[in-house]
Amino acid sequence: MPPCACSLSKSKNCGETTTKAYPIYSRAITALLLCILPLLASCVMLPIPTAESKVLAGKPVTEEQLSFLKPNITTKQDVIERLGSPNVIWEDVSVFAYNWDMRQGILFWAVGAYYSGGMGTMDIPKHYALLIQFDEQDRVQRFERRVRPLSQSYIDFLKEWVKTPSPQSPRNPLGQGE
Amino acid sequence: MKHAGLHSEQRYTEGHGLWHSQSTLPSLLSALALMVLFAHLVGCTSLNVLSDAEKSAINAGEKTVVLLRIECTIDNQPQEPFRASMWTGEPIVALGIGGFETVGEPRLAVHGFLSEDSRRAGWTYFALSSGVYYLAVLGPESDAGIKNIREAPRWRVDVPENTRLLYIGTLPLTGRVDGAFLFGGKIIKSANNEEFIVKNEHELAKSLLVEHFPGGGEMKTSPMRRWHRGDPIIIRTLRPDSGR
Repeated sequence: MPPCACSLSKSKNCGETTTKAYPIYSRAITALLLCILPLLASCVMLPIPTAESKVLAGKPVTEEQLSFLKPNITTKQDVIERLGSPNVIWEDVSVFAYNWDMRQGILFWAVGAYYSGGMGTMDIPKHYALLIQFDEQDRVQRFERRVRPLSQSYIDFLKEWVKTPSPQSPRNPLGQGE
Repeated sequence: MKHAGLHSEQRYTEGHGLWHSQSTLPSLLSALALMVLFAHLVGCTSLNVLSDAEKSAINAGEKTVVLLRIECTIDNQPQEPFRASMWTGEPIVALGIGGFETVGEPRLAVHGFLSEDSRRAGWTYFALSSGVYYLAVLGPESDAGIKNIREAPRWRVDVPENTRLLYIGTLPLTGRVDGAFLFGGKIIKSANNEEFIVKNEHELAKSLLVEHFPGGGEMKTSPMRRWHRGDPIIIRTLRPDSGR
């Protein structure tokens, strides 16, 4: 009976048939690879917060621009004339969505592998949306300026807003989503 | 060397003064993995002809067959836009569909063919519920399969309720050969101008759909409309069984 196989087997009697003998080299190679791999590759990611001064996408809508919105008075046409065509129209629930992205930070990344690597930066966006819902007479029923979490999909964000009525206030004092 | 008393699949061999077993199990597992991979590739790359399940869903009114034709020419010569399988060549036209769940953003779409002949002629279909969709068409390009479909030109497609068969038009695409790859094959680049003109081949589409859906009812024609960046994306809530 090969001595090494006997020591590896779980059988108490080395004369018995063993069915769990493992190659000697495979364990050593596995252990060596596990030690080497972390040394061969490394990745660094560093988020750096910044002021929201850069527009990444869309056209921002400020609080002052929302002053013309009056529930039960302002019409859909008024909204289009003042703010332009919305980015998204959810037809069956009469919702307009205006979207824009501001930069809230910069992500610095660097990756190295053996003797080469790369690095760069990318903007971290903050997704804003102005959501306006109209009634059957195409008059503003409610509106809100919100921030969509990075982890939430756009459609879930819209569905959530439609399902949960919010106070009709242009200033959004409850600060929902911000 | 085979050791007495061991399992028949294991052998002990001597190497470098050490004893170790050589199980045939890993080689069997490798062979099995290769077989599964090959079967998967074959399944993925076979012609995507309408399945019985899809036909049932369409006949039951749960989905609408949305038929489209791509008329592709390369250097003024007709070219098949869709390949039968990945083994017959790289795709030169890629299609994406965006709808309610993606708020119009197109994703690479799985689309089917009614038959081999119709595929060659550029006919393809989507099985969709009623609603508003945005069709993105990329190509003809040699690397159409790996480019970002979101950057491709888009068309708005309206799928009405209570419709089983819908034809949305024929889209001409033009390309040109721009050299050759290192190991053969032509490099194809798109030569489309921005003035895509959607053609209406109503009678051809009707004859094709009637052949495959004799009980599908009347075919509707609703040509797709070009969507430009800056135009609003319109979405409608999907309703269950809205194709009825």
